[in-house]
Order: sequence, then C-alpha cells, then structure tokens
Amino acid sequence: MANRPVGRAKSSAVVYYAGWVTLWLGLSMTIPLLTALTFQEWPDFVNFWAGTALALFVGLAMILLARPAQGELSWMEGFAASALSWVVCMFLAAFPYYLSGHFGSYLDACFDVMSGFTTTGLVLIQDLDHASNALNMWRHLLTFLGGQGMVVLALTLLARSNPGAFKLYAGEAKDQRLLPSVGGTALAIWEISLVYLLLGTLAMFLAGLWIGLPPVPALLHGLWIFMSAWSTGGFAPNSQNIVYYHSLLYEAVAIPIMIAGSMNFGLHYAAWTGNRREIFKNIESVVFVTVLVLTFLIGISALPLQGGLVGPLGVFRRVAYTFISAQTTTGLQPVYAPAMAKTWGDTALFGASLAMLFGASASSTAGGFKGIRVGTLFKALSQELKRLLRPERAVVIEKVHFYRDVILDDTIVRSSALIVLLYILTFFGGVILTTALGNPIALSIFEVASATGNTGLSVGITQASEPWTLKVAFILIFFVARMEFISVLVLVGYLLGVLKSSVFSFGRP
Amino acid sequence: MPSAKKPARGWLQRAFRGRWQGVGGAKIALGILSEVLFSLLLALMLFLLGSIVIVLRGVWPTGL
Repeated sequence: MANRPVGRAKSSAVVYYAGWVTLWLGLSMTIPLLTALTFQEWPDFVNFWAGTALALFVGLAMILLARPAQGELSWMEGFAASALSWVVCMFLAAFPYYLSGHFGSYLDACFDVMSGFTTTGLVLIQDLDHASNALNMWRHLLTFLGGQGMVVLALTLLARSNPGAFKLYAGEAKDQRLLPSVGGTALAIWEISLVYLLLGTLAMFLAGLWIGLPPVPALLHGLWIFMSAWSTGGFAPNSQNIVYYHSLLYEAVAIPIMIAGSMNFGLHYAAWTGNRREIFKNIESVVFVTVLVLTFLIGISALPLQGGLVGPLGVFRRVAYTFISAQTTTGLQPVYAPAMAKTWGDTALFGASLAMLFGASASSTAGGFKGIRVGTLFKALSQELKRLLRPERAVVIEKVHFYRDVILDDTIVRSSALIVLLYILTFFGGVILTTALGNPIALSIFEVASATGNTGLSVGITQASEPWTLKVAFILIFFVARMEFISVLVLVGYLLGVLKSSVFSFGRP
Repeated sequence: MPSAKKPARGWLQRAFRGRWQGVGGAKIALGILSEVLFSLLLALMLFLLGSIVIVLRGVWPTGL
C-alpha cells in the first residue's frame, strides 16, 4: 500500500464520498436512539435525536454540495476520502457523548469516539457505572462499526456506483480482497461479522445467565462484551471492565471471540469456504502464536507472583488473559490498572508492551505492526543470513505462506519495513511526550504501546485529568495507527493543497 | 430431462449468490469450529506453560 502513487485529488470527490460515510453514521445512530426509546431514557433520546439529525444533515449536505469522481476514483481521492470520513465522523459521533454529561469537555468526548472507532479502548468517560443503556449501546456500536471499517459499511452500497471504490477500502487499511469485487468483499466482511455477532452474543448471554445476571442485562452485557471482544475494542459497560463479572466462565467465553476478531477476514473466508488448514498454516497465525508465547514467557518469568497469582488458574486468569488481550489488541482488562502499575514490575509490563506493538492480523479488527509484516521481516532477515552463510553464487529464495506460497521480494519487504518504521517512530514520539509530562518511563512505554497498537490496556495514565496535549497526541496516535499512516499523510497533503490553492486564488477573477 | 444449470431459488440464495456459492451451513459451521478450536488450543497451551513456569520458579505448589 505504501508504494502506490497517489496523484492529485479533486476536493469535490473527496467530500462527496466522505459525505456517504457520514450519512451511514447518522443512520447507525438510530440504534442507540431506539435503545433510549425502549428503556425510556428520555434525556438520551433527545441527545441521540439531535445527534442523528446533525449527522444526517451534514452527510446530506456534503453529498449534495459535492460531486462524485468523474471516471475512476484516484488513489489520492480514495485515501483522502477515507481519512476525512473518520475525522468528520469523530466530531459528529462525539456530539451525543458530550450532551450526555459524562465527559468533561468536547475533547474528551472526541477522545473516546476515536478510541472506539479505532478499536483502542482507552477511555476518559466519567461515572461510567451510571451511564445509560443508550450511551453504552453507542459506545460499543462505535467500536463494532470501527472494527469492520466505517468505509466498508458505506461501500456495501457505494461500490456499485464507482469502479475505483477499492481505493476507498484500501485507504482504511484493509487491502485484502476476499472476492473479485470490492462490494462483494465488503458484504462478505459484514456477513462474517453478523454470523459471529449472533453466535457470540448468544454465548455471552448464556454465560451471563449462568453467573446470575437477569435476562435483559445478560442480553445487553452479552451483546456489548461481544462487540468489544470481536472488534478488539476493549470497552465494557462498567468501570471495572471484565473484572466486574468475577467469573472465569464469562472471561473464558470472551477468549475465542477476541482471537477470532483478531484474525484476518481473508482467513475467516478461507476457513468458512473449506480451507480450514489455513488457520494453522498461515504466516499470520504462526507469528501470532510465536509472539504470544514468547511475550507471555517474558511476562510470567519476571512477574512477582503473589496475591491472586499463586496458582495455575490465577496465573491464567490474570496473566495469560492479559497477554491474549494484549496480543489480540483487545484491551479487556482482568487486572485493575493501578494494581498492574504497582505490582507487575517493569519487565512484565515490557513483555505486554511488545505483544501490543506486534499486534495480530492485517485486514482484521486488530491493531499493531500486524503478523504479515512481522513474518515478512523475519523471513527477510532469515534470507539475508542464509545469503551470508551460503556460497556467493547460491540463489536463496524465501517464501511466505499467506493463503498461497508467495516468494519474498524487495518490494514486499520494503513496504512492510516502512510501515513498521512509522509505527516505531510514532511509538517513540508518544513515549517522549508522555515521559516529558512527568510519567515514569516503564508506565509510559506500556500506555503508549497500548495506544499505538490500538489495544486499550491501561496502567492508569489515561484519565480525564491528564493534560490536553496528551489527549490530542493520543487521538492522533490512535488515528494514524489504525489507518496505517498513508491515508492520514495523504489527507494532510490534500488539505495543504486545498489551502494553498484557495490562498493563491484569493482575489483572482 | 433435468436442466444443467439450476436457477437460484428464493431471496436468501439470491442475496448470497456469488459470495458463498457452493458453501453449505455445515462447511461454515466446521470453519467456525476450527477457529474456536485454534483459540482453545492456544489458551490451553498458555495455561500449561504458565503452570510449568510457576512450578519451575518454586512458587506453586507451596508447602511441599
């Protein structure tokens, strides 16, 4: 993706396609609106009514005032439209958040929306335990929509009208085609997610009933925890996150959902259409298992084992669960943030930070470097070592199994290295800022790794009282990491271009 | 004589035509089961690894 020439964009087309995504956001806001109506939460009904009306108005205005691309959409238009959609949707989705009174400022509301859209899971919401069902529905729906992709949602209809729609899809950091047509791919992604939504919600609902929740809360919590786990978001409808349920069963049911959510949609499609062995052979699965085992071993070897961590079950529930949550970039947290900060020690926190940075699969709901890139870079390293050790004339060919055997070439390696380098630079930038604001280095590394990997595990740095600079920096980190940098860079270039042309054309006839 | 090409029957088949052609419910169920099995095997592996490490570190079982 990094090597594609992007060219010049027409501002009208960028706004037009972003308008469609905004319109979809407005339509999806009717779900919390209906939730508020069902549970007679009248203040939230008014908030979501206003939010829906605003989003639909802005979306329609963007569509009516702008024009679609003449001919095929260019790469730059596709990338800029994807990134612009996310920015516009962040401001609009934050509107009912802010009206709810659970946020200290509009910035805090935007922080939580971007955290949800990007499936990160770090939150600034206050008094979460008294949030309404409608607000919780919107929080978890945002993370579910963001996980599949805001643009993917719009593409289910839009793709039929533009032959270049794949560029919008790729702009959202999903460039895996399940099917020849991008419309078919978008529909298949939604069909896979909806099948899991039904099965996963049912499983969580039954687990909720088993642990003694009344039927309606069991259903709502089941739906929300499913959405959170599947989209690797990490939100929960209460401030204690998954610890709230005090149940091994409830925690365990979420494990397959987290892992399935972190799998490439291409892998789901392959398994569902009969190629089940791919789950165990695919380079992303191999990297996922390897990184998870190694980072878990770092953590468990260094962790001070005391309190609830003395037996195998305690270690599994607190440590292994945290590492699965970190590696899948979900962020469901089985340990209280302050307890983690005080008792885990630097080495164990560093192990979990590595898991969050490496992340799970590309074209999934997960974040981080992604398995395909990590696998490609390790294969390239192995190729270089073999070249050094073998005779000069020997031809060393390295293959990566990604649905089929792909011969490693310099273009693939360079593209992977570039994105991983951008992740690392973003991570270091975040750590420098976080430590400069007075936070300890080990905790800063953990929190910024969580933000860069779109994970959501926290050691307590993220809170409503943190400086606004850190809030803005984290919003940017969530965004660039989720979009895998290129779209955001293209959007910045596009906005600068628009600004430049309007400044230079000012006063001309 | 039966026709060689069966037309798609019903709205459900037409809706999914092209994406899930030739994929029955059993195949999808097996695919989902394989994914769940992969997750459970991974969780079991971490449980066993964790148990081994705490035994090696002498943290558990205590009082022996």
